[in-house]
Amino acid sequence: MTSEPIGTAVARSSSGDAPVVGQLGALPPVRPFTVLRASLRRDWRMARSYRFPFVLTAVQLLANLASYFFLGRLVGRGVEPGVAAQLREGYFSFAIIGTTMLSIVGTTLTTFARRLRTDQTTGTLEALLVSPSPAWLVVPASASYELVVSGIVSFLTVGIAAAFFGLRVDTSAVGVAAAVLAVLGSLVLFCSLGIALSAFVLVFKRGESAIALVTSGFAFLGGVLYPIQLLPASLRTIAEVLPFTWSLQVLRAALLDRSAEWLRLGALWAVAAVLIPVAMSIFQVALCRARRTGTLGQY
Amino acid sequence: MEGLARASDTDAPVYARGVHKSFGATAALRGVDVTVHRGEVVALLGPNGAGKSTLMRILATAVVADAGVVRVGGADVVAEPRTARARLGIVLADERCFYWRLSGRANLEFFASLHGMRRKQARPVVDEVLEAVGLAPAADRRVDRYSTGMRARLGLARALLGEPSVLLLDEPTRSVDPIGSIELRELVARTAHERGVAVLLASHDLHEAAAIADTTLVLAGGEIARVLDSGYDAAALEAVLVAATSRSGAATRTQRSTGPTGHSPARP
Repeated sequence: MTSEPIGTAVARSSSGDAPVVGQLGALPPVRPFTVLRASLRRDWRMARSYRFPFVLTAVQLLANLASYFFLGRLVGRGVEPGVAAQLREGYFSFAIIGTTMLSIVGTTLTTFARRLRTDQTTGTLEALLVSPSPAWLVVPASASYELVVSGIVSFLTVGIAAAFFGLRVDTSAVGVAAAVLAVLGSLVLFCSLGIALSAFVLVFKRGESAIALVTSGFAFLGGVLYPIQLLPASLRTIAEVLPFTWSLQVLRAALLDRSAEWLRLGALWAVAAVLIPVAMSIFQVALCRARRTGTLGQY
Repeated sequence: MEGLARASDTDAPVYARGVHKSFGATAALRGVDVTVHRGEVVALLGPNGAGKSTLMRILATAVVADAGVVRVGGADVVAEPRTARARLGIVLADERCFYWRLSGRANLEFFASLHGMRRKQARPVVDEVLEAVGLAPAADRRVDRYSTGMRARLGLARALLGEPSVLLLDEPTRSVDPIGSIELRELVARTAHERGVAVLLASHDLHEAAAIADTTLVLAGGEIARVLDSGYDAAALEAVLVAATSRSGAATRTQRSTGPTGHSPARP
């Protein structure tokens, strides 16, 4: 070890525009993009240290596509006219868009809670939350890598389905813009739910069951594998007010029907804009409770 | 530190008065006072369950006290937690609190970003702290291939990233071999005395406390039972600790049989 006192070394090297936080009155700046980039880099490095899952993801992606491709040959014939309109581009197209969206939404619902739980069990959560960066930044940034990966996998899924399995998607500027806005709006909206669920994990430590229930509910009611017109009237009413159903309808309209449902898209973003601050407030309340009860690092 | 209060106590980097904390029916801290001045090393001794880690976590803003005033680096930990966090560096007792599949350098670069440092700014700072704790040769090795002592040193390096005015060390040399412990404690003492950093060190190692502490607090049953200056060696500290712990145990047993009797801290 060097004989130089540590603080001297840090003070010298942090001259320039690096923050000097030990001095009274000085506070390090909150740099969301710096924290976001650092979190992405950290998780990419960790993911690279496990090579096999990359291969498994690729195999799973192809297996799913092939399964729905062959299922598409079976399903769709002889269905009633009201439903047939939904399957105009074939069952394969219908199901691929549905499952891809469910995969994105599933990730947004689970990633915050899973990441938080991992940080609880590995002991890094306390270290993160006693840093000068605020929790509203640290926790979402920690989940960013999985969200980015989910987006890339979904894009690849649609791309491979279009290239090798005959999926026909609208590639006009309007169609692509509507699809991108639908996916982004859904990400923001369901991230708010994911953050609220992570608050549940922060307080109750185990939240897998609640998250699985929500995801299964979306799969059942949202029209992932079948049009919601097939549901009984009472369930259909519930399905129609679910934002997840709107997400799917907007995405399918944009990519398969060559039409843009701007009104529904606007509603999606409006709900997202309302839910994000609500979710952050819920998380903040949960965090305060964990600090009060001394259970922040417990799992 | 009642009885040792100085006029400048309220300006001290670590200032805690009347800190109470209960978890359910269990009182973890009962009216604890702690002051650590610039350049001072204060050791916190006590048996398991005495409240050392709870006090450390309250100072670090990870736990909120039920009552009392707590200021770190001049900032109230409840009203201005971010300011307090910016002024402190903490070494947690849990050596798992790193990303084990990343290198020491990658870990520190990530935690530097939480101090608002961009990557370019963080690199020289990370190099400096790694050099200072003697980890520069192993900087690019994964943390899961570090020894326990190396992980302890990495914890200290992380605590120093933001150039803190307060260092909270929760058993930093636990599981570290004797030579590593001596090196680490010398480094901590130098940093405190030469840089004016206020150090609060929770430890079970009496030799460590005797070697570097300017003041030693004995915490027993959630109260400061003794305040000792630097004239005590490890054997004397052990005698004081045993006496304070047994007295506290008797008091706790009496209290359980008669009910709560208030929050007056036991004093020597």
